Amino acid sequence: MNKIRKGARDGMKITFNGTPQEVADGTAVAEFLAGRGFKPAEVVAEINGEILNAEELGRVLGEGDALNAFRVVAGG
Amino acid sequence: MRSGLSPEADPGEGAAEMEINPYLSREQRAILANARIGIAGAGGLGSNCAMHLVRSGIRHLVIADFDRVSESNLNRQFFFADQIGRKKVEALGVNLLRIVPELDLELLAEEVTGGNAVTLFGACDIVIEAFDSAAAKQMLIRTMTAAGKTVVAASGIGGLGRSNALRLHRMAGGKLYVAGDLESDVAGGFDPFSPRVGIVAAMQANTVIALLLGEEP
Repeated sequence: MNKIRKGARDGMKITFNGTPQEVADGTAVAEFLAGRGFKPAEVVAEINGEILNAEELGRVLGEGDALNAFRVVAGG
Repeated sequence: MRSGLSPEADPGEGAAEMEINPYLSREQRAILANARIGIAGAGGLGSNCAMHLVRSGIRHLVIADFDRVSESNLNRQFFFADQIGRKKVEALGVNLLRIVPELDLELLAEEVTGGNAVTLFGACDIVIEAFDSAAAKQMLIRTMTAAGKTVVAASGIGGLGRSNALRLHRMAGGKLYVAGDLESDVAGGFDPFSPRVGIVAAMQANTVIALLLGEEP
């Protein structure tokens, strides 16, 4: 049975740093963050309160996810 | 030795111990004196944060840094000219003991890595991330939060002015706090100066004390 899809990917709602956002289905955390200028070597991100390690940045975002991220910059 | 100025000074148990916090209750002092705080990095953030923690009543510290004191450190770090060339953890230990002569200091002159961080800081209640490089900061935050430790980190401390951009960010349901403006990169032209580094180091110490005493961080 053929399923009619609206465009390549459907949208879903998440929040990013507290702000509601719409993202395409199948978007990985790393892809989303790269689109907002975050470099993998300079980011710490959490989904639903859990800090992600490097591998977990490949995780695909899900409906309702609360994603937060900040830049880790040098200096101490 | 007690000063006798504290209204709640108790001449009983612990009377021989130096008391420099008359503004805290005996119970609060006990909480701080019994806590063990890890400090990863003894540079501008770590050395100043340690100083604030000791002045606030923290008595057990685990401090790790492989570096030695250099001339360029003296613009912001809690070291002195006659300590140039000494291992930072040793010099810091000396300086902290000049504030409070009886401290339990575990001074580790070694590099903190993803492989040894949990071993080095496993006994700590809270770990301060006080590294210089972004990679080391990222590593410690990820490693220690994954191990269930509360981490108080810093990001964005370079440059001058912009005091109001320095904030405390709460993440991971309170397992991670990040002080700084999250953008002023020392590797990107924002050189480190004492006031801004010092503000953030003090924010980190302030956060630790508040968390231990159940106050709003």
